Amino acid sequence: MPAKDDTAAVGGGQIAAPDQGVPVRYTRELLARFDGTDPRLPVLIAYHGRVYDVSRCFLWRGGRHFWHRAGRDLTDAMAEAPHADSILARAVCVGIFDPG
Amino acid sequence: MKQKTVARELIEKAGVDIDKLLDLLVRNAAAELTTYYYYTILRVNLIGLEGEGLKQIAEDARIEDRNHFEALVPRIYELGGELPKNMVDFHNCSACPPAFLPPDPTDVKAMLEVLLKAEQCAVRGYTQICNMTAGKDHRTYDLALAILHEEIEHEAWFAEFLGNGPSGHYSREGRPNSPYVGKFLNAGQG
Ligand code: HEM
Ligand code: HEM
Repeated sequence: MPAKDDTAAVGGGQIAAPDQGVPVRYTRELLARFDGTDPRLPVLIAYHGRVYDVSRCFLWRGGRHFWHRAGRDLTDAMAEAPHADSILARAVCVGIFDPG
Repeated sequence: MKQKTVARELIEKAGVDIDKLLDLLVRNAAAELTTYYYYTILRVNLIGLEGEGLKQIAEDARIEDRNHFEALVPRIYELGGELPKNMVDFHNCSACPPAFLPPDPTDVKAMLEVLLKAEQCAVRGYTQICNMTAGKDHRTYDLALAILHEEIEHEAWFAEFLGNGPSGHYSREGRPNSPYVGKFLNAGQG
């Protein structure tokens, strides 16, 4: 599908298996539960309207990435990062972010 | 409360967020020391016709990464920071993912990719520290830039082996290690 704007290719990130039911919509509140504090839940971040699973990234252990926290929209934080958003290819796109 | 040095006062005044800077310095110091450790295992496993050819540059990168750790630590304390008490915490706060031995250690290409990724991550780390300190914290900038020069050379060595074309860089080939960082290694080991 990828959607209505052209950010679908951001990072060329892998996409969750289609049979897991696509897409999943995350509000700000729902996303906040995936901040890494509950070890039973995956660690998720939002970037440009997409939600990415970073549970398997060493550098996101415990939901922390340098001074950033998971469970949030980090679109504005990318500018100061020492990498382009193509780094998101190492994460898995699992849904869309809809702050409402 | 420890007294603030003039250096620290002026760096803050120049607009550097010292807590963030210290966070990055500690994480990158952790990346260097853990890389030194993981490269030790990689080096041991670089054997056979192909592996042996890589051994020396992996060794040069390993020694220089340890030198980077040594050079960073005094600056961390100078700025009022410290290393974590527990080495497990230190490992886990590394600015770069661990450079684990690939599942098949005879796969020299996989080995090279691990080495290359580690160096590329380091290049990112010091570029960021340089960006944060340029024109504001001259001493940290000078140190981070010296390390950056060496990390870029390491990246070039491994990239060349992976067939990414000529890099324009020569390996140390017996010349002394850490040509850039050497001046910071003054504690009797330079
Ligand atoms: C990066 C992961 C993905 C994101 C962020 C994403 C996002 C979206 C969005 C925002 C929509 C519009 C939904 C709406 O308006 O309610 C959509 C629709 C859709 N997506 Fe995805 N999607 C992703 C992956 C996939 C994958 C892997 C497939 C199938 C292989 C897929 C199939 C569809 C389909 C069939 C629609 C409905 C299209 C339509 O009716 O116009 N999506 N997706
Ligand atoms: C100042 C802020 C940031 C710093 C200092 C930073 C630093 C880094 C570094 C050094 C790496 C390792 C790169 C490599 O292995 O070559 C990395 C990986 C990554 N970063 Fe960031 N980053 C920042 C912000 C962000 C933001 C805002 C996002 C997402 C929106 C993000 C997402 C990622 C992801 C997904 C990875 C891959 C993780 C892995 O491979 O374990 N980063 N980051």
